[in-house]
Amino acid sequence: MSEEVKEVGKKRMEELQDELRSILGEIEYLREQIATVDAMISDLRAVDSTLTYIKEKGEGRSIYIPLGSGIAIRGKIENVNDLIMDVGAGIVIGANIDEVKEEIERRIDKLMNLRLTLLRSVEEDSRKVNRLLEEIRKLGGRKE
Amino acid sequence: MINSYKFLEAREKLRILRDTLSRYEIKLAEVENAREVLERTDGKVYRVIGGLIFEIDRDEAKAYLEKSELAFKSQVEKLKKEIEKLTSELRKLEAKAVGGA
Repeated sequence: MSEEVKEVGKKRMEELQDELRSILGEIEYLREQIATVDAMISDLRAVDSTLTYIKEKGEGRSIYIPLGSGIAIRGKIENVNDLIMDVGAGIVIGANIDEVKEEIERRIDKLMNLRLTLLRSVEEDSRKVNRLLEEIRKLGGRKE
Repeated sequence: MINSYKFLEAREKLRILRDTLSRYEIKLAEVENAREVLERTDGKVYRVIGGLIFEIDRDEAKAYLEKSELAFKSQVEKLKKEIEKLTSELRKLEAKAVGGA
């Protein structure tokens, strides 16, 4: 094998390895995003179950309201249908319990769709990784 | 493999620009979501300022969101142009390095 051909092969190998590193980094990033989305969905489901409980048994009940750092103050639920929800951008909307539960469902649906899109990107990147590995293997074999 | 200082610096700048763009896109999506929720609900509207929640009227909320949307859209466009320009510069540097190697 001439020196020139060897040099071309070496350059190609470096290119492939660079591309492989970049895609593996992207997969890692996408997996982190999926974990974040999962945590958000789980948080929304927890709030939804709390709301279900409050709707059924909350009216007039005394509860401890968390103030942060494990400290809470005793209070009373006056009206289970007087809630506020943060809709982003510093805006908060007043709503009743069913409206809030509907909004939670909407948010979960959106996050599930996002999760699916991220999963598809991971699958696509994994296919690219397999193709690159195959090419690297072939190039390595040719060099030997 | 390209290791020139200029190339690495440009790549780092591109990464920072992409992160900033991503943050502005999230803010823009939040504003769009808030506008959408505001359209389909009829409850009272509040604005969070410095951790406190103030009741405001719907028109005030709409005007505030419209203004925010315009500002974020303009930032997103500006960042996209910068990213496009830097990507093309990076490609040129890459081609130069490969050609000169």
